[in-house]
Amino acid sequence: KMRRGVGAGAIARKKLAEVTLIRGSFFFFCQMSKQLETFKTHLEEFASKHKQEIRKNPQFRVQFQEMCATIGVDPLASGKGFWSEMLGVGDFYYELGVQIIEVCLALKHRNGGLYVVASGCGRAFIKDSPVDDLVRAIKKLKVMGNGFGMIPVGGSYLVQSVPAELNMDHTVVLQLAEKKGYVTVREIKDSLKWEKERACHVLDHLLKEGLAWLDSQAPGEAQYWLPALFSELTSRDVTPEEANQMTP
Amino acid sequence: TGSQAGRTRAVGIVGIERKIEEKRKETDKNISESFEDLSKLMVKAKEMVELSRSIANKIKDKQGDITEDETIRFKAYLLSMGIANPVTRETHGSGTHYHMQLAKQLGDMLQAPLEERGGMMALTEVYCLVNRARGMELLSPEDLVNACKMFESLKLPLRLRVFDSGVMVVQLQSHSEEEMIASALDNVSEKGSLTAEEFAKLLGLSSVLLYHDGLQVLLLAEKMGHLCRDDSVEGLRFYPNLF
Repeated sequence: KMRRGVGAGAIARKKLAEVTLIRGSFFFFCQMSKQLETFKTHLEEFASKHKQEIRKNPQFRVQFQEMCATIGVDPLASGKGFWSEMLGVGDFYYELGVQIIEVCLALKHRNGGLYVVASGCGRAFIKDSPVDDLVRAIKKLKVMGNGFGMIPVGGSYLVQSVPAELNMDHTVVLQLAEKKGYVTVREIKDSLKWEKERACHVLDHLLKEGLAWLDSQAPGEAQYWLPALFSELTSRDVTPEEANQMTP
Repeated sequence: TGSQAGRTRAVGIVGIERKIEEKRKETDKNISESFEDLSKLMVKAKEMVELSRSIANKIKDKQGDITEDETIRFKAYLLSMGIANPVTRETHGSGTHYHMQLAKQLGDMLQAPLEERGGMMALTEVYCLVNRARGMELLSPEDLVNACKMFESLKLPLRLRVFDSGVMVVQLQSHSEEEMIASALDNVSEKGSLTAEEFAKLLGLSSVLLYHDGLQVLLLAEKMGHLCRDDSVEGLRFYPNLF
């Protein structure tokens, strides 16, 4: 009796396996839809309790993003995703992205399209955002082509909002200029052990791209100032005229 | 009475301190609770990711078994969860319903702004324009790119274009490169020489970012042998090619 039972079960299982083979995917799709509904309920529950926490607590946002990255989920990929719709994480970062683009466009004539992300730049939203959030928002903007890049300097980042060509040499010089806001040919030669030509070549490129200004009245030798790093300039608010320049 | 007053005051301050302490503890409790809930949620999400992987493999193995409808459903599911799976996405079916709808919306919405701006806009600008108009339920950069990629298959009068520099722009289909190049040549010979910035201003390209589009057009004209360059600290200038 026992054996027959096992046999019947085995036959049933074999039949099921055949059916699964024929319409292999069907089973999975049913399972998927069911699980998706369950997950939605979990997420809804979570959202009703902690939605505010995500907006208010940067530490919580970091934790959330890191966990998502670990399991291979990108909560910012689409505004149509569950995470965006239920937790509002999407709008938070997409809005940040819009503001970053606008500020970069408005200030491009001052700084040649380079912009220090850590400093307050006159817009309340950006000013209050931790660097982590800004970096995350900018990384997303990169999807839209070669418009945005990030260069680490000191403890923060330089955002490059126009696709100027910046190679390693340029980057190193930018990093060197970070503390004082300017560099000189001698400083580059001394600290990087470069030939004079190499230093001049890089500085000329920065001048040409509008990233550096030449000060030939400095004591000793000429100084190359980078308006993006020049704190007087970066800390100033966006003027109404500049705000008007922000298209669209 | 003096000591009593001092005592009440001390109680008062201690009381306030205690209250602050209690509040801090409560906040801490809330936060640790939310972290705990988050971990639980992520366990569930992980199950979903694993299930979607096994389905993706199924789709890859036996393509014939999957109907178009199922693929579309699967894609909607990946989109909801935020799971990037380009292999499945690129080889099976072209996109999601959502992005198709979005492409149509963009088609209506961008026509006028594009005409105002000489037929071309940087994608980052489009992103600002569209999201500013929406106010909420914003588009992600990926949503925008994916929608723009569908312009052509939906036969909309718009195009997504990627320049050699990697800059992405949306163009009106009627926007013709030859016209732009012809106007570049006209302007250069009229002014003697031009930088990309000057050219963008002449074209009335509204934003500073579009200076690069001006540059792209000048570079194209150079490629075709109509212009030549003068590259110096003064900037990159373009002259009529007299060579």
